[in-house]
Amino acid sequence: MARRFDPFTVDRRQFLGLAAAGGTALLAQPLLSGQLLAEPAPQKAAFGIPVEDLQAVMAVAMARGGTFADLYFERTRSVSLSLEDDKISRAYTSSDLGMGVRVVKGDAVGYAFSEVLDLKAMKQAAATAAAIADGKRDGKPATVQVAKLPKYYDVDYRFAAIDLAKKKALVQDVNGQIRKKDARILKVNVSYADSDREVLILTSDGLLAHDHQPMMRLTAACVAEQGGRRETGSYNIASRHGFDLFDPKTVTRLCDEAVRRTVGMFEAVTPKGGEMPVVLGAGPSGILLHEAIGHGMEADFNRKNTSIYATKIGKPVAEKFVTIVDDATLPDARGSIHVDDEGTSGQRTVLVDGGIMASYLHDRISAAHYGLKSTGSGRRESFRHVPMPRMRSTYMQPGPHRKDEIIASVKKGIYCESFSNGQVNIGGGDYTFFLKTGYLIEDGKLGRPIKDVNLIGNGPDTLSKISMVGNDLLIDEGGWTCGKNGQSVPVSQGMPTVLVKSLTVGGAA
Amino acid sequence: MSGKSVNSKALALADRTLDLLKKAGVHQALCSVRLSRSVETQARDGKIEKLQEAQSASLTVHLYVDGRYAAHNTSDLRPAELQAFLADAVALTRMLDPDPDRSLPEASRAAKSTDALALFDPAYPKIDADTRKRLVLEVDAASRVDKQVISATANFSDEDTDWAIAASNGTRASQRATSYSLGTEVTVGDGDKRPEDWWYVGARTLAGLQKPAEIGAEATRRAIARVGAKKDPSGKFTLVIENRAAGRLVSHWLQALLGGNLQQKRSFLDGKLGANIASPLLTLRDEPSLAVSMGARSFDREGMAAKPLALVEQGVLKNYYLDWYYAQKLKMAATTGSLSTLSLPGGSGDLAKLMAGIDRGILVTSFNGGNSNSLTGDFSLGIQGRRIEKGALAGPLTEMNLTGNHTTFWQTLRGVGGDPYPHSSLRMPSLVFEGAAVAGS
Repeated sequence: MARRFDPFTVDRRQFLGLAAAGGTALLAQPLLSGQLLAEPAPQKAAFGIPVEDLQAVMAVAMARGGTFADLYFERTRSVSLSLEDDKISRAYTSSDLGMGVRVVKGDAVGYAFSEVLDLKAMKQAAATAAAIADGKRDGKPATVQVAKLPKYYDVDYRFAAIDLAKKKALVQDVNGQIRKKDARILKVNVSYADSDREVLILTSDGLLAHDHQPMMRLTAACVAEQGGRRETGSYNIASRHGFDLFDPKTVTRLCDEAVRRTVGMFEAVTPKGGEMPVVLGAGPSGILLHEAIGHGMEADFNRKNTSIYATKIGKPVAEKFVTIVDDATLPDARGSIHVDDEGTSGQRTVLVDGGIMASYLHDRISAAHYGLKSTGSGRRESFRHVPMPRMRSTYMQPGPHRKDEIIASVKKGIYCESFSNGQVNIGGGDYTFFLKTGYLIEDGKLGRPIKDVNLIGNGPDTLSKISMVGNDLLIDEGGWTCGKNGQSVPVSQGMPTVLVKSLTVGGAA
Repeated sequence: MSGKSVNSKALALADRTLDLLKKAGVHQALCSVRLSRSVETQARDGKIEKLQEAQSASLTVHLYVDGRYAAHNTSDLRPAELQAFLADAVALTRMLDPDPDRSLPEASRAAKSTDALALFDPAYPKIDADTRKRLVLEVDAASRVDKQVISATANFSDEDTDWAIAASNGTRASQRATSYSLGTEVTVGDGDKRPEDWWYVGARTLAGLQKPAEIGAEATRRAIARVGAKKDPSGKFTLVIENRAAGRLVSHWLQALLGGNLQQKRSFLDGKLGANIASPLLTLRDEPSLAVSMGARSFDREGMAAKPLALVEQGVLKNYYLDWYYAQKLKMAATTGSLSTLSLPGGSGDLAKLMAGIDRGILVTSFNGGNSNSLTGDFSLGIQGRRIEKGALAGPLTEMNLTGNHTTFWQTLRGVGGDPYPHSSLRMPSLVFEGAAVAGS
């Protein structure tokens, strides 16, 4: 459905949302991360722009004494198809091209972009961005070297090259399968979306990086009716894998989950609200990490001393079996990146190491502020935006407990299966996440399904109340999108089964 | 405000694109073009921290080819690239499924107007970098007077947008509009916690903005009021929802009015036209021609001439938001597919008046996350605000959840303020609800 963005009604906070959520096993395989290896630049970089033109634009950007600058070129092409009432009668395509120039002077940033890639327009943008500084250039231009990037995703074609008929057939297949599964299904909505984003980054250090960032998502949503009661549910899978991800088995699993999450709601009740033990199911529950700790660990908030975690590095915040990471290196994950949007290699960052607060998520500005290296967390929505510290794939490492013993330990509480969105107050630490599907727990066993209630807690308080961590880490395969200061970026998250001793659950009085 | 019309480059581009499509054999099409210039200036703790300038173009064509429909967007307006883009767009559209309900609005609905609402601020061209810096630095200085303040980030943004639609059904409309936003986010110390709050104002004219000193002071006052916030035990409370927050609540409710949700059986208001769905205190209107509002427009996204729409009159549901497509599918008359400016008339008094006589209640100053199910009406939202005791404000509350169902919740509306929030297209007044379920400790 269309959502109108109104900057005056949306709280200026950080949020996370998605089309739907769910999970399957995707093994976390942290790869070695480190400095980018480099080789000399060719005459022409990607986008057909001569390297000497790039250098000329960079010279304008640095002319007034900026300490650092980057040029960010982007071409994104995307297609989406939607089916409703058994017809694919809506499609949307988008073609976007442009470049942004950022000039940094200390903590201050000048930014401008151009949607026209001719030298005059690019130099104009560079001159506008350079105005944040008011001196003269010190130092000489760096020699341009091309970065060799790692491979956490690898699609050697463009989605546009795939016959639209194949994409249509996939969407129609999902509709057909769901229609056959359950006679109570009243309406089916299926959407398919893919995009090819190509980026080229040149930093004032001379690093030139080029990446192709593929993305796709398939979503099924249903409405079902039984005895006059209607319910809705959905499931989606998102990935940087190529089109062949959607093999028959995966498509059938998506259909099964969409139907189960709809017709299963006929039995659902609203729980009684209040504080209670909460078991977070493996996978999508990683939303808790995203909201309760991830945003607060973004170093821009900490260098400004506005995060509740601003003085916590090196201090114990959770039990010893709690280790939380933010990782750009998971194979094909929506949150994975080979290079961040300011030229630093994609890597794995440990936020909490055995219960001790270990590292913030840094971009170049915050890393310079703290005298550290960037963690490769500088990301941006597009060439129209400045980069800032962002999450990639956020998850908790497996712990010592079994799922069944965790559930059995709860006398009266809830078990959470899937979520739709969350939000956090960075400084106060209060965060929320909205439960789409789950179950009551009574005497250590799962009971009636529950749905559509908000959970609320305080970040550091919740971390200290994580009392059991399962051995069943699951990275959620759903298409999560993280919003911060008006910019959206794709992310992933994961979680083993976890017990939080107490959270406030919305519900009946 | 100048009443004079401005030559619209966007309209000229939309006209040209429509011609190109006609030459390519497409006779049913709508082209929407937005050309904008925006500048953002940010200050933190006494220094300019960010300057950003942007000129942006966006062209979207909605094509109706052989009974098939698709929309295509590009920012690349070079003639050869645009031509290639349109050829690809037409080819892709032809591959979709035919749908007899896909068509442009009938000619009688087509908007034909240029700057019908005069939304362009004549002072805009004179704004320079020094003015922008002065405004954010004044807000910033006013927000940091109190020693409890740890950090404050003030922001000023101004935008000039030329938006036009031309379509083969005769639509030819454009509007040039300016908008400004000025405000700040303030963080204060509270032991280990750093509670924050904000105050942002919006206006169509520079002169219409609240004074920078007032903005900074208001944000700081709100942040300091968060110090020591905690949760109370769960219970049923009388809730006063401040105007600033009320838009969020009503925006969830509005989802059930959308044609797509009605036709797809995802609305708890399906089949309720003419029915009593809320307290008689609830009247809701969509008012596109309220020029001071951020939502002002003389035509909608489908190029239909905008007109006022009564949604709810004294608790009775009168109309839905129906775009042309879903109106055809539902065999109903199209209204408009999207909200312009929402108003709730008839209230009176300020927050103090609304709180008078409430023995034990909660003032909600903002929501924290949460969501709503447009099919069942169930909603659950994080809240923060202040305790109300014997008609007066008491200590700050946080980390609590309001849970209910829209079908019954709006029947418990028992008070409406006369204080519509002017900084949003959802111009909601403060609202009072009886017996709301709030979960806490």
